[in-house]
Formats: sequence, C-alpha cells, structure tokens
Amino acid sequence: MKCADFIENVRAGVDDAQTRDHLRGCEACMAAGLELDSDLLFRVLGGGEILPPEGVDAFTHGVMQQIHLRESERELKAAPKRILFALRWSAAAALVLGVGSFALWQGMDPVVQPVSPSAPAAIVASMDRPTIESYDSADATIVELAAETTSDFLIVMVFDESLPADL
Amino acid sequence: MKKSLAILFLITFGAAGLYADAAESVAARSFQLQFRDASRAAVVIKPLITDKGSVSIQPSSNTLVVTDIPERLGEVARILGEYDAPAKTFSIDLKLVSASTSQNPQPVPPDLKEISSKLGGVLRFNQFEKIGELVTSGREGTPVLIDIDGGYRAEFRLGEFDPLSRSLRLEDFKLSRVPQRGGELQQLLKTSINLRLGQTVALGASRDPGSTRALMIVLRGEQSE
Repeated sequence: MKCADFIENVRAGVDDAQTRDHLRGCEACMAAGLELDSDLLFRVLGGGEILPPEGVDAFTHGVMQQIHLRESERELKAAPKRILFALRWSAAAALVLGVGSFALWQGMDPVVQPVSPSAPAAIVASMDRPTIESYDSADATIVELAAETTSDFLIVMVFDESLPADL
Repeated sequence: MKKSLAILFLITFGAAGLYADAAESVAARSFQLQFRDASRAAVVIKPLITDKGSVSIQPSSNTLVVTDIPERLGEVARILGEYDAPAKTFSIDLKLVSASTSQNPQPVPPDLKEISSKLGGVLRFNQFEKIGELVTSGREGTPVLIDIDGGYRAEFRLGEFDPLSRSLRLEDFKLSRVPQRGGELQQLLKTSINLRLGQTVALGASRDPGSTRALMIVLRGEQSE
C-alpha cells in the first residue's frame, strides 16, 4: 500500500492495525490524516489493549469491594442511633479511667506543670548568682554564711594559705 | 441517672482543663536591643527559659528571638526592658575592717556590731576595728581605684547590672597593700564579686579557720539616681 492508500483509509474511517502502524511511522501521512480527523493522533498512540496490573478479575473484585463499602456506609447513616444503656456506661467508665491516668501522668511530669502568675517572684529568688564568682587562688576555701533574707547581711569567708600572716 | 451524668460532665470538663494546661503552646517574640549586646542579653535571660523554650540571636540586627510559654515571654520582656538601658550609675560603700582575737577586746564600733555578732558566732574573733571607709560611684563598665586608709588599695571594674538577680558584678576586684616607702604593690587577693543591691556583703580573708586575724572587706552597693 502507498501513502495515498492509507490517507484514503483515514478519510473512509477505516481504523485497522495496518493503517495505524503506518501512521505511527509516517509523519506526512499523520499530518494529512490529522487534517481529516483530529482525534486520529490519540487513537494511533493508544497501542494495544490496556490491562490492569493485577489482572481483570482482581480489578473487578476491588471495584465490587468499593461498591459494597459505599452501600454499608449509606446503610449506617440511614440507621437510627441505637446505643445501648450498658454501652454508655462502658464509655463513661473508659473516660473516667482515661482522665484519672492522664491526671496521674501529669502530676508525675514536672515539665508540664502550669506556671502560675505568681511564678516570676519565685523565679527571681532562685536565680541568685554566687557572691564570689571567681577567686584567684586554687588553694582557697570559700565559705558563704547564708543571709537570713535577701536584704540581710551576708558574710563570706575566704581561707587561703597563700595570704600573708600579717593581714 | 441525672446525677451520674452531671458527675461525668464535670469530670470530662476537668480533663479538658488539665489537657489544656499540659498542651500549653509556645509563642515566639523578638526583642531588638538598643543599648546592650544581644548575645549578653541572651545570657541574662537564659535562666528564665523553660524546657520548652529557646533563644536565638540575630547579631546583624542585635535581636533576640525568644520562644517559650506566654507567661515566661512576659517575664523575659520585663527583664529585657530593665536590662536594655543606658549604663546605670552605682555607688559602692567600702569598709575595711580588721577582725582579731584579743584577750582584752575593745568595744565594738556601732556600725560594726552586726558583723561582730554574726561573725563572732562562727569564728572566734572578738575585736573589730575599722581601718578605713569610703564611698565611690561610677557607671557600669568603668574602672574604679580607691586608696583606703591603712595603706590598702582596692581596684575593680563595675560590671553589668543583672536585673534578674538584682546584682552588680565587681570584676577583677583586687585588694593590695601599698608599701609605705614606695615599691611594688603587694596583692592580697583577687576575686570577682556579685554584689546584690541593698545587701551588705562582708568578705573576710584569713589564712585558715583557726587564724587569730582576718581582714574584712565590707561592701554595699546601691543604684544612684
């Protein structure tokens, strides 16, 4: 067959495998054929039959499962909410257990303790710096006599063998 | 039945309240400092930061970005507001006192009674004599040099005021003895002191707890107007 024959086939609506194969390999015929039929390109590209990877039976089974699932959902939505009295109490007991466990857990974990508005004062009080931050002698012993209040009198003694005897 | 449901209702809402506390979210806030260095400010506020929080420094804009629970962010803002200010002026009252053990102790001067009563209970000193006293003042960051009666010299640098502990750092505090006939200073001690404002600190130095003599440096700092 010549190119003109294939173009004639397209014009006549013949969609056989031989024509499609030719059109795939011949740009001139494809260009001419597209002028006659704009969908020709997509049909030619289609190639062979498409099969699902798991096979037709598996695909059908999956589709049917989805259909059954949707039907079940519709039935549940349509059904009246009948929760038994015993079931309510079971749910309540589970909730109480859950709340109790959570409260216990929260009490054991200091990280999540809420900070009360009065906390800053306590924070400041616990953030005192040491009075003697450094002392230039490795042999010294520094003793801080704790003040009774923050505004009180604080005594810090440094005992250092390297100090002169006639201080 | 209604009573049971009411109790259940209360428990449920109580649990919701507990959960809200536990899941307290953190927030972020940036602080651009005008007078102080952001990296130093980060050190100042670090003790305030909770386990949930973090501090990052943007040196190019001298900014701190603090992430923490809202209560702490408020406290950080308050402390940084106090810290980020022009250098403050402080006055330092310094007394030099000799503490010793004597067979016939002299009466204790009135302004040394507190130190004598506190120290006498711990060590065996019973005589207290004031060697010298003076008041000096300066701005944060300035060096101070003072000659005290009795041939002593104190040198230190007024460090930064820490608003969190309300203390002023006396950096490189050196006490030396000035030779009467010239010559080199005899350095007695070198230390860095955090002086809480409004608190009198008596820093005593002696060779050992059994010594019969100690030199006491009594310091008190106040912020000047």
